[in-house]
Amino acid sequence: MTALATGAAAPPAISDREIASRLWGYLRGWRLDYAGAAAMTAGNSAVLLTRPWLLHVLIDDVFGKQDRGLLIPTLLGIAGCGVALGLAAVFGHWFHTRAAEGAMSRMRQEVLQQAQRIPIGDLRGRRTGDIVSHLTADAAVISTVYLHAVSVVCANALRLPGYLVIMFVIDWRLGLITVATLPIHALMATRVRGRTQAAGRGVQNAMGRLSAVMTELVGGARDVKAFNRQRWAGERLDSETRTLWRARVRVALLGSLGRTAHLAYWAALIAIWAFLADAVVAGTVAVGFLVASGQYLLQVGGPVRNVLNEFVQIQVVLGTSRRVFGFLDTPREVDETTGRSLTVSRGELNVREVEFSYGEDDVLNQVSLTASPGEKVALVGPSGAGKSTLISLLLKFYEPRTGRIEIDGQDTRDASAASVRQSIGVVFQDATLFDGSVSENISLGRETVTEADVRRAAVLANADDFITALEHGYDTNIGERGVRLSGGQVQRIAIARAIVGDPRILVLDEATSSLDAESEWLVQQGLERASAGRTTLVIAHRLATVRQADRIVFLDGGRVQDAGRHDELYARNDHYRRLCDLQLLRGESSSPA
Amino acid sequence: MSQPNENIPRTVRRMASYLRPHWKAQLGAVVASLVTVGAELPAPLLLKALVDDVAIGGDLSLLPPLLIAIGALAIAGAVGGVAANYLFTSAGEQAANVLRRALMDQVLRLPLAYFRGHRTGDTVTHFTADSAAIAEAYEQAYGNGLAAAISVLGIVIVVAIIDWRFGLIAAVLVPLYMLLPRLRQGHHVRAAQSVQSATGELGGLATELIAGMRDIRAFNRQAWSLERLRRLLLALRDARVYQGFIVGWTWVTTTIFWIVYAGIFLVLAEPIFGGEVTIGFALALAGYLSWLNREVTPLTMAYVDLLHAVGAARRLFGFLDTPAEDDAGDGTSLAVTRGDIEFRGVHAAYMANTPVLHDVSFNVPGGSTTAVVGPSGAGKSTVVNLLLRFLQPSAGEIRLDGQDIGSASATEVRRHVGVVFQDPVLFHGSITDNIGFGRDGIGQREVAKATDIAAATDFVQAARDGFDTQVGERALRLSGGQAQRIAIARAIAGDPRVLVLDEATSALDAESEHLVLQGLERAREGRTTIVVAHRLSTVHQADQVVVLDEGRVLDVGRHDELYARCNLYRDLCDRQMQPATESGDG
Repeated sequence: MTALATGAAAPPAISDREIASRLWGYLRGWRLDYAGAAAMTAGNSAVLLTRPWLLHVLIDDVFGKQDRGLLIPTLLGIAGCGVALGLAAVFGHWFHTRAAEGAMSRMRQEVLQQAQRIPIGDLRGRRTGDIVSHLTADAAVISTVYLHAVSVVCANALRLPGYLVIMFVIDWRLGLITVATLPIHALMATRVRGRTQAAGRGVQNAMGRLSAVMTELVGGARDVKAFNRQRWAGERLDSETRTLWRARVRVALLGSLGRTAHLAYWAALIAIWAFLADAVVAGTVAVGFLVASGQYLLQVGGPVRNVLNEFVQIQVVLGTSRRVFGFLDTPREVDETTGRSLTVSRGELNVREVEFSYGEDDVLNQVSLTASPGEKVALVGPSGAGKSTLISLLLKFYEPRTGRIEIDGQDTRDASAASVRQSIGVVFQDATLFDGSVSENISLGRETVTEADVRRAAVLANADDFITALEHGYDTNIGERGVRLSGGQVQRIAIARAIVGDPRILVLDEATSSLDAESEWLVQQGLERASAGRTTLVIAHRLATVRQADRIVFLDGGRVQDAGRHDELYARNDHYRRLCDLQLLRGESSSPA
Repeated sequence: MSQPNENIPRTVRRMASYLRPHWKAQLGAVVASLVTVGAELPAPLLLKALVDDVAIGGDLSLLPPLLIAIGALAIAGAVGGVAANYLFTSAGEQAANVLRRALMDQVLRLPLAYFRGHRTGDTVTHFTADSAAIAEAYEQAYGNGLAAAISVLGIVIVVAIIDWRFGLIAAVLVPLYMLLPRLRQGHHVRAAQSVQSATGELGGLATELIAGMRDIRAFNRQAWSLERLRRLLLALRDARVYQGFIVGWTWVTTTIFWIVYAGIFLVLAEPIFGGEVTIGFALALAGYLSWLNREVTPLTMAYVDLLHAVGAARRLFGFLDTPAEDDAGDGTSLAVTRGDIEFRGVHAAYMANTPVLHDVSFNVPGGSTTAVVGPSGAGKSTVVNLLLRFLQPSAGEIRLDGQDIGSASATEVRRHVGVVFQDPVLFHGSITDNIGFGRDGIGQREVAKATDIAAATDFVQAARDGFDTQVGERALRLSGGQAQRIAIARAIAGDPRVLVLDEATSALDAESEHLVLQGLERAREGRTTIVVAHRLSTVHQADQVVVLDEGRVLDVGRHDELYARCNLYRDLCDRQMQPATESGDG
């Protein structure tokens, strides 16, 4: 298949307000946890506001005024602050995580459900990667809004005025000095942080390039050696690692510059003592206040930085949410759940004057073909002739623009996709194995399929021998992290999967094209047995595999050019003959060239 | 991750050896750290003077010098901190880069047999994940850890000078602060591992479900796949919540610190009331202890990072120590004019005791074409590996124009042998770069000529930037047939006398195969050519066919001779020309 279905136009942009309310909606069921998290955050702020005040009480009232009775309560207060901070942290984390993971679990499931409903053409190439990242990276980014972004902004937005009020209450000059430090913290948080982020992206890019170059060089080690390019390979690596080094050093430098925001604290401390030492000596301001104000100063930079940081984070979350929601709101062109159910008993297939196009280009033009029950029909033709598209229409991945497809005389246009697919078993060129046992890969979790059915299908597919030879037989794990199967073995499992539900129609879409001659032989044996008694539709570009089909339909340029038996076509159709000759196939018999 | 192992010191020493060339930067970094700590250490004492002498004692003349000292030291500390961080990072990253280069050199020296047993992914992991862990250790464990250790030592010493009893308490607090989080380290590791494995599984499952969506929908398995995701998400949530709980417990050090803080004032209350000790003194002590609390965390982290890195380093050094390919030869250079190839009683094995070729002998006269055929596992690819000297015969020899290629270096042999693989790797760069890849100093004219011979000129010129079009991983995707023709041009660009075609058209469809075969036909002219193929359509024009079976030469001859007399060959031919059923068709 060449052209890509472009899918629907981008959905209208979603406002920040709507995003916020939708994000709040995902918390349904987890709002109590979120309330708990909010309470913990508030408690944490309250403790941070109280503690320095206790220091003032200790210095001025307990020791200054020699009030021994207050000593123990004050010290217990200080120790209690520590305990409260610890508890707030432990349970705050706990509540936040529960709420965030609950909400994200719901969003992720919605993403998968959406992926199951959008037109299959939208699931190609880059789009696949996008959806995977909606499920993984994007969801992780969005979860930060529940984990900390909002609660940190709220807590700090409350705490900052608290600090300022306390400072002004102690002495107006203290208040003013504190206010004066705020722009410095803000500046450090925005300017330096912005640059650090840019530099951080530089590191990410450099890492990405380094990793790409390494993958290329390691994967191509054989070619590098065969052509004596070892030195060149080393230099390529070095030039990438030099870039990485520069980027890393830049981040380190900016990172430590950011920490010099601490100097603002010292400057303010010096200012406080310079302005207020007189007042303390004169007795108008208590020493303890001065000491306590030092602690408040130390804390005041935090809220400024945190709020600014989290604002940036919230912007990122909004952007990411917009992408994910945009995906969730994509119109579902195909509704696969509704529609009439088909009753299929014979497996008669009729394609009637079907036309189809992806966007502008016509892919199928007035295509008609018939397959009687049990008949084997082959679709052949050069690449781009429309063979795979016809299969996609048959499986109701798309709807024909005009014309219709009938199974056992029933129009599939108003039938549900599920019931159409139930009557058709399909073997693709590149079957996807899922992580799980051989048995699961054949049954794919269908409740009605028993172990005996799986076994019977495997025997028919010529797969039982190699499966029982595996270490754990049918329970052997295959897929990404399991035992590696050869291409021919994978295809035989795919055949078993296609016939385990005993469909009346079997579709083979280039099922043996990517195999070598021997594996092809084994798979062909399986196919032969699997297709017995079923209506079979075969697509193949290697003509040797389809030569003795009951009928060969020769497609070219989206039209049916000719149909008939191999020797008939070879005799009368020049294009077909040329295609055969390219593959060293003669018309008359099966003896090799 | 950190199984007790007596070799930890040795691994750490070997890691450190990569730092040695950058000792000047590190010396600078240590000096800068000392300056920073030296500048920061007096701060609590200066505050004590402010409280006791200025505020309570009322001596305002002390105020300006104290404030100036505080400001100056703060600036000195900040500058030192920036310098130390810069120098540590720079040296650490440079050391990591030297290590990466050593790894790449090792990859290119390893025998190809190594990659038969290891997946490319594993090797790339050596580079990325493991070298990143080590770079991290160079920065964190070494840089931050050393700086923190200097601070901790300084604080304990200063406190001990002020009052030896409190010095003792501080000295006891350090291990306490370090040990308490470590008591729960097992939980931390377990929590992190379960989150990591669930996250990894989620990535795998997401890719699988989305990439396999066509199959899922074709088989009506939507509900099943949703259930799989839901189950994994539950596990992920449990792991995350548990981890959140465990991470929360790290706050226990803060709690302890405040209890100690209150404790100091409790112990000092009577002396303060009695006037033996000043409030400023108590504040300074509390200040030092809170600082200690802050510095111990990076120290603990440094230790954890180091353990991480030791695990990574052990894997990495193991890889570096794998015996490399023996490709030196004795420096003989080969004089190749005709390109006669002779296999003389060649035995070969990738691993001892599992021979792949037995006593293989055949002759390929210069300029002729020989096809090597046989079922999978017959040893066809091994013949190619031997010719390219990826593998040395365990007995017998291979002669090129009468000279044993075993005595020449691998580089020398490969100068005379051009190869086209089934799946050639094109590297990121222009088409010209990729065609000129094989030899130094290949000019545009030779590239154009090779392209022409390979029947690739048409599509190269049709590409947007012609010969300057970027191809490879991150650029223009060529079709299989196009990539294969670039690979043919690449193989013949240096005009080697010998051309090896290793399943060069097996992965192509019929139409592309046809185009590539045209290119190959011209490329073969005037060269000794060895064709390895399982699809026999490519071997019909060979001057001779060598049939291999289970590592032995079964027969040698022309196609029609072999078809007549060799059963295996006839079977191979017949199987490809007709489908699986016995029905001979009409």
